[in-house]
Amino acid sequence: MTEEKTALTISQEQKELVCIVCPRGCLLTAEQTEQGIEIKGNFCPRGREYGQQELTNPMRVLTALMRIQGSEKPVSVRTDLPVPKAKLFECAAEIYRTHPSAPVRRGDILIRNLCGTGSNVVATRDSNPDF
Amino acid sequence: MKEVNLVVIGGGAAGMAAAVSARRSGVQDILILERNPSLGGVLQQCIHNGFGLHRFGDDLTGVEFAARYADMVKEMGIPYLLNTFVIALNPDKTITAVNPEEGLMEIKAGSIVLAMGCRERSRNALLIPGARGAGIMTAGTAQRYLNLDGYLPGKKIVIVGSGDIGLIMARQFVLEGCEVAAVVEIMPWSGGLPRNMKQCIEDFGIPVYYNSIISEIRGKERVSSVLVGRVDEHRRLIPGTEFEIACDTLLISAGLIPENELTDQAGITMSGATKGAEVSENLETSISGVFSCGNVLHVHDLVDFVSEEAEEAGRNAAAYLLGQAPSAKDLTSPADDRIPTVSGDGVGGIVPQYVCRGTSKKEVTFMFRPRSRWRDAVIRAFSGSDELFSKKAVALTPGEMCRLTIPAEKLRAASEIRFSIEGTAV
Repeated sequence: MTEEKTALTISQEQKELVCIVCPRGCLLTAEQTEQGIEIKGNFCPRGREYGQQELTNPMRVLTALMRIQGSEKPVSVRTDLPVPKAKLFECAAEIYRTHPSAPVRRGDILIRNLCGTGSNVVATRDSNPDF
Repeated sequence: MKEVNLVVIGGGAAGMAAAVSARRSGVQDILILERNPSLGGVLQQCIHNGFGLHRFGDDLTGVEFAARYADMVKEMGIPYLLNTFVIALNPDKTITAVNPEEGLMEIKAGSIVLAMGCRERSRNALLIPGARGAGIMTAGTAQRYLNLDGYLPGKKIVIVGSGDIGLIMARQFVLEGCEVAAVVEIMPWSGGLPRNMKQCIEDFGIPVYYNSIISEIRGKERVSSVLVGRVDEHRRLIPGTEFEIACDTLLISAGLIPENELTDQAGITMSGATKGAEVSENLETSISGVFSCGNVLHVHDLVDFVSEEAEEAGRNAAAYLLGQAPSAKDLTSPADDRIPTVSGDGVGGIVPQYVCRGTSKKEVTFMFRPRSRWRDAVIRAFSGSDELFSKKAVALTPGEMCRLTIPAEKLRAASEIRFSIEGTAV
């Protein structure tokens, strides 16, 4: 994301954010200081990282379904690292375009370096499950 | 009649955790009864992440979280029966169950852990008037169709209620290429976790209508639109405020109800506030040796806390079976040996409902939901006018369970444990 957009996001002097790192959901306050963005209200250090990341280049773990050749039911997948929020739709489209062949095992890497994000798409369950 | 030391009813997050911890505490003879064709319960359809941060220190999807426990159950060789539906639970701890292989079976249990989970409130529970076409379902049903069976239930979706499952599904539908036209919430705030409002709704610019209800569903064979109207402070529709939103699917995400038909049938004392069994600090119900945990006891926000509670129930069931459980005796002792918990200002139903004065536990964890939203709040526990404990909280909302752990020493002299919330209502 560009410098311009960063400045735009925190154009107000203070901004409130909900931390999404864990379900505790800390209410963060971000303030633009001369030293950079200062985060308050975080319970743990991950909250500070999240706040700064969220205001500069927000990232999300993407979870989705992948349709499998040779299996009636889809396999659930996730990115092993968060991807830029701005690329979520592009990444989702790439996952939906990809149809690996059965069998797929939990932990298999199904797409490497998804849309240039450096994140891999990993199966979270086996194909042909029993449910 | 088959005899089993410990029977766990339900093979979801709670049941698996209870069985694993009972085995670790020395119970060899365990049987899990699960009505689905696989272990894992609702986690099987929770493909999103955010599970396991407390329990495993990892950010797992629900599917992965279930797999970790299912692997433990299998590695420990804990027996489980799938496709097995419990049809009766009796006060003498006998169980009647049925499955396609063995037909009808009767089991005599030494101890039982109730871990049946919960189900969703339906359209009928919300009394939404209008057409009865296709396309009306709970958010969890849509989640099942999509994530387990691979079918998209619609293209243009309205969600009534802002429970977490609805929020999670809103995001998934948008990423699947559907339009989520609106989330309609009767209360002035969301019923889901703040993080889900952020990452599922605000991230995608989905419109949320607070203080609003669906006043009519339209469409003959399939839903074609809904009418949305505002409500007054008594949550009654304000005439003339309705407007129409076109949609082909209406999802209901308006809360969960513990699935306690078996508990009721066994004559176990129930709590009107939590809709679960009344339990001691050992999670033991009014029948000695029968324990309850997870969403069947009270609806949790996080599976991590379900597992934690269930592991506690498993340990307590083991202590009961191995004759190390002082609470079982205490439960039949006179009522004045029990210290009741009481909901004061702003506090919903509390688990546990009472603490045995002679408890062997070093500390007791209490859980409840705030009735409304607060900022800069203090949660206090009193016995009469004596303050037993207090804890500050920056923000409280009904969507997030409060958990307070109090040293047992502080409770022993109490006549009651009354919780209340002070702060700025928002």
